Parts: sequence; structure tokens; C-alpha cells
Amino acid sequence: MKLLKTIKKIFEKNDSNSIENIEEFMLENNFGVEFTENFIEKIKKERVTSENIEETLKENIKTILNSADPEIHFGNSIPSVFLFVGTNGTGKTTSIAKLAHLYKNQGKKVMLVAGDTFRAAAAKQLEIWADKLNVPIVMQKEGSDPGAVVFDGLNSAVSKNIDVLLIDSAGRVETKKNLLNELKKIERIIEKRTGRKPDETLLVLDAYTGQNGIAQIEVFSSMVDISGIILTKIDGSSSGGIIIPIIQKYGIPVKFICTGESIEDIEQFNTETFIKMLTG
Amino acid sequence: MTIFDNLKTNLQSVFKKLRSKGKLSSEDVKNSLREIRVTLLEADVNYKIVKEIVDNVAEEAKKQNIVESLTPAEQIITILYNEIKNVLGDASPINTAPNKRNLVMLVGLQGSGKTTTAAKLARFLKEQGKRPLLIPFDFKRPAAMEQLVTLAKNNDLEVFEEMTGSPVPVLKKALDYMENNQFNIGIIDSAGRKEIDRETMEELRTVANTFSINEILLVFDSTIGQGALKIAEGFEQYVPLTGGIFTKYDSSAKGGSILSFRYVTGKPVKFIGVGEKIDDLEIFHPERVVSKIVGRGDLATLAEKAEQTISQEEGKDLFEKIQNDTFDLNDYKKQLDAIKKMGGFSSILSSMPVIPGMNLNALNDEKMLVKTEAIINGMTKEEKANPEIIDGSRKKRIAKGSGVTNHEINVLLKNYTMFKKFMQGTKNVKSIDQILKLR
Repeated sequence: MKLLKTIKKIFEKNDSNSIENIEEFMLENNFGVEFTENFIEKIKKERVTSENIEETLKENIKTILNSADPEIHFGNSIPSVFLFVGTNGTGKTTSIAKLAHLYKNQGKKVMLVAGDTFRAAAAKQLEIWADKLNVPIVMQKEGSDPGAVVFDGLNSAVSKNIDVLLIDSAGRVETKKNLLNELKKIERIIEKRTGRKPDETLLVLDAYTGQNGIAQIEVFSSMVDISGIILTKIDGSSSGGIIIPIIQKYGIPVKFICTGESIEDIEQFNTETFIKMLTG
Repeated sequence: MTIFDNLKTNLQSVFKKLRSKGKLSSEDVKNSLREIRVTLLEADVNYKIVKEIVDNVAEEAKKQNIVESLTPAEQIITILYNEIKNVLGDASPINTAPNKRNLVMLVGLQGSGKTTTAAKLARFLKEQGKRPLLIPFDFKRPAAMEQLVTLAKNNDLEVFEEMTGSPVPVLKKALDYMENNQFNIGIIDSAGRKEIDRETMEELRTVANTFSINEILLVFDSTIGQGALKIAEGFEQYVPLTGGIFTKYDSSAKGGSILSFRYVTGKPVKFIGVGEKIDDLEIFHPERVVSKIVGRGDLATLAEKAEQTISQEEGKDLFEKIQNDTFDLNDYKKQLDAIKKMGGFSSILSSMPVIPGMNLNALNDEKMLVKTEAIINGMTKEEKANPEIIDGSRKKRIAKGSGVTNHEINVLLKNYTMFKKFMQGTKNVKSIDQILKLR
């Protein structure tokens, strides 16, 4: 990203466009106008110099990131239920596979639920992962009621003493009210069966996402109790900077980040690591 | 179609401020440019493009002496409209040769919607009478082939099911299969890949270089932010893109990434994905999108037409006539002629402001416009210049000469009076296009 280096350079030039250029750099990383403008105000007011601009920005980002708790919540009794939601193509199914791999390696008994009964071969995709990872999966045929699959999964998990139940759901864009209602229904089924809401309802967010990420959080969290974000597809060309305005506005933490295509490429969110990746 | 609606709302709020002022100071112009800039950035338009658009708008505004303008807000919208339209380019069909084996390859990042789009595109082409074959070409993602096969089966489409081995031989086999089974267009659903992943991008290049492919389309998620520019650059670097398809256009994303794609590649956006069903694929119409961006809807087109039909000179003339109270039936007819040139009254009726007392219904069809013309033509020079002298006996004569009823003449005269009154009440109005803009 080398963002800060560039900012420094701009500052050293000290021409009249400097502030505007810095603003653009922050915007380029999808930080959003609000955060960017507040920061610009701040550096103007506090007469931040090129020497401490880097620290000031880092501190600002850190404060926001630390304002939301990234700890993973397991249930008081097994199974812990994690529900994965999000728009289409963000990487829900792959994230589930990665997390199943992670928890299995930690000695937990993991089970998958193919709650995406809509997309062609979505269950098949998850099934292939289940076979590869050697974890059980509950699935029904395409087009069946996702609520029924989830209910099946919960029963099966209870009888098999599963520690962590990972539930996939169909991707849906945030403008489709009826599809979002379906998620609400799934949440209710889980609550009815286990006596509590999903221990984690994770919104899977593509790191390339622009300002629409805010709408995604806004709408999904108005329907179900989003407890955290999984930020996927982070690498040199996508910073995931959109989470900064998201956390600032909604206080919803990022819990995991996915940094590559192999099964190990998932890690728990860490502020320092993230800032390092973001600023280069 | 929600994607640009938000941008439209934002820009409208910018221009509301402008509209309320009437006349601008140079400071106002600067502020409005700044707000345009922020709005475009919020819409995920890449900052480089934003800078260019805003600079161009500023320059053009200066050239047009916008500070002196009586309708500065509209002028700025028009300038911005043209700028964005320039970036968006024109609509473009899928390029296929008849009586030949054609290939279309879909490329893009993971999760951009290639497989779903492939099926939608096959359906679209089939409905156009082509014989498409879906070719699964994603050797990596688990069940990617099953997904395409299922989509094909559910939607009565044909799919090549022998995807074993490595890319080039598989595609050669698929081409033979097309040949033997009279398919005339193959849709290759390639694996998702990152534009910075050299290895997989090189694989793509090899395929593109080995086969003669009519269309290499970048499938792009509309919700992508500023990174869109680099993604487009990355793909462009390895394969000769011929166009783009934007998916999730039914989300609330503002879709500034479309501008990035256009800016980098210069290639047309061919389709947009607007939903989850098989026929939720639409031909991309840049002009529709750009109208939505600047929030004028069809009014923009109307205003353009009006500008073409009414010359500046005529406009000035009309203004003076209103000022000096010499606006007569000749002038009224001129305005009606302009309306006719713009496609008739009915087409602009919904865009018109309410003119108190004016019977719009009486003008709401071609026939009535023709009659109005006939009535005015049937008048003497004197009557046209001084309509108030038209009494009962004059009406009778005109009615007879023009083949209309007395009542129709009364409606015309009343409309003329109301129109004149309305024009006098609205200072600064030069012509019909500005009446439209007053709405």
C-alpha cells in the first residue's frame, strides 16, 4: 500500500494541493468521506507536521479499530452456532471451510450446514470442502427450505455433541427485503432450538467493497444481530479500508480476515497487524 | 435500478442549494464543484477520474461564463451530465460473426458473478436465435462446474461437460464439440483470479493467445470501491478486454466502478446483472445511467432538444418581447412549433410545470397542435399581432377558414393569454426550454 510514505512525500512538497491529495489517498482506500474529512480537519487544526503525520493517522485508525471488541464468542453450552451471511460472492462458503479447518486443528468437533439452498451447486461446493476436511455436513436438495436445513443441522449437532456448528446461507444483496426476512427466520429457528441467538452472526465482506459496505452493514444488522465481520480477499490490491467508517459508525468489529486462497489463510483480527497491512 | 439513484439524490441536494440562489458568485461555483467531487467520491468513482471530471466541469463552467448565467444550476448539471456521459461511452452489442464459431470468455475476480452471468448470457443469446454452448473453465473452485451444469439443466441450456485435464486441451475439445454439434457461440466461464496474481493471469493470457476469442468480457461487481481502477488495469495488462459486464446492479451501490472500468479500458460496458433470475441480464444503456446520475431524468434529453430547436437569438427575442409586452400570437406559435419539434406536447407534458389556467389537455395531442397552427394561420396579420381585437364575427370567419369550432378558438386564445401571463410572471425566462427547467 505504501500509503503513508506517499502522504509524507506530499507533505514535504508542501504545495497548496497537499491537503487535497492526502484526502484523495484516504478516499482511495475507501476510508469514506466522513472519516477522511474529520482527519483533515484534525491535522489542519493541530498543525500536524510531516514528522508526525504517520503516527497521527495510525493513532486515529487504531482508536476506531479498538473501539469494537474482536473477541470470538462461543456459547455456554455446545454446540456454538455461527451463522454466515452477506451479499453474493463475498466468500461465505470458502470462509466457512477455512474456519472449519482452523477449529478442527484446535481439536474442536466441527459440523457444517449447507444453508444456501438457492445458488446452483452451493451445497455441493460445501460438501467437497467437508470431504476434504473430513468434517460432517448437513444438507438437503437444492431449492429446499433453508430453515429446515438449519433445523436439521441443529438437531444433528446436538445428538453428535458437536462443538462448533458453521451455517452457510445464500448470498443476497441488501436491497432484497424478502430474502433478508428469510435470514430473520433462520435466526429465530436457531434461537428457538438452542435458547439463544447464534453465538456469532458473521457478515462476510469483500475487502474490495466500496461505500456500499456501509449499506450492507446498515441493512443486514437491521435484520439480524450481526456480531462481527469477516473481511475476505485482503491483499496488496485491496485494503479493506471500508471497515474504518463501518466500525466508526456501527461499532461492529471485524473478527477474522482472509488473506489468501489456501485453506490456512484465515486469522483472527488484530489491530496492529491490520494497520501494518493497510499502511505498508 | 437503484444503483445510481443514490448518486442522483446526493447531487440533487447539492443543486438544490444552487437552485435557491439563482445567481452565483465564483465562490459558489467553487463550493458546488467541491460538493460534486465529494458526491462522486462517495459513489466510488475513482479519485483520479473525479479530479478529471471536476477539472473539466470547472473549465467548461468558466468558458460558459456560468457566473453570469440566469440558470447556473442547470448549466452546471448539463456540463456534468456531458462529462459523465463522455466517460460512459455508448451502448454496444455482443460482437459475433454469423455462420462462424464464436467465442466469448468471461474473466474477473472471485465472486464477481461469472458463472451466473455465463448462464444468463447463454439464455440471452439463445433468445436471439443463437446456439450457445456453456463451457465451464474453472478448474479451481470446488463445484464450479457443477454450478454451471445445474444452471444449464434448470434453464434448458447446453453445457460442455468434459472438463478434465488442463485448460488449452479442454478448450480444444470444446471447440470440436461445438463444430460437431452446430453450436455457433461458446461461452467460456473462466476461474476467478486476482489481477495481481501473476501465475493465474499468465494462464489466462495463454488461453487468450491460443484461441481466437471474439469477446473477452470482464465481469465486475458493482459494489467494488476505489480498487476498481487497478483491477481493470490489471486485467487489461494481460488480456485484450473487449468489454465489461457489471453485476449486482440491483444493489444500492452507486456504481462509480463503472466509470473506472470505462476510464481504464475505453471498452464498452455491455450488460448489467439486475437480479438472481436467469433473465435478469440487461443491455447497458449509458445514457439512461448518466441521466440518473445528474438527476434530471428524461428532462435532460428534453432540455437538449429544446436547446437545439430554439436558437439563442430567438430566445433573446422572446425575452425582450415579454419584457416589452409585445408577445403576440406569432410568438406563441413559434413556441408551439418548438414544442412540436421536441416530439409533441404529450411527450413533454409530464415534465411541464403547471401553468395556472392553461388547458394542457387541449394541447395534449398532435391533432390539437395541428389545429392550433391552422387557427393561427387563418388569422390576418393584424389579428396575430393584436389578438384582443378577435371578436365574435372574426372568430366565425377563422373557424370557417380553418375548419375548427368556435370553442377551439376560445381554448387557443385562453391558452395564449395564460401562457403570456405565466411568462411575464417568470422573469428571466428566455424560451420553452427554460420553462421546462423551472420545474
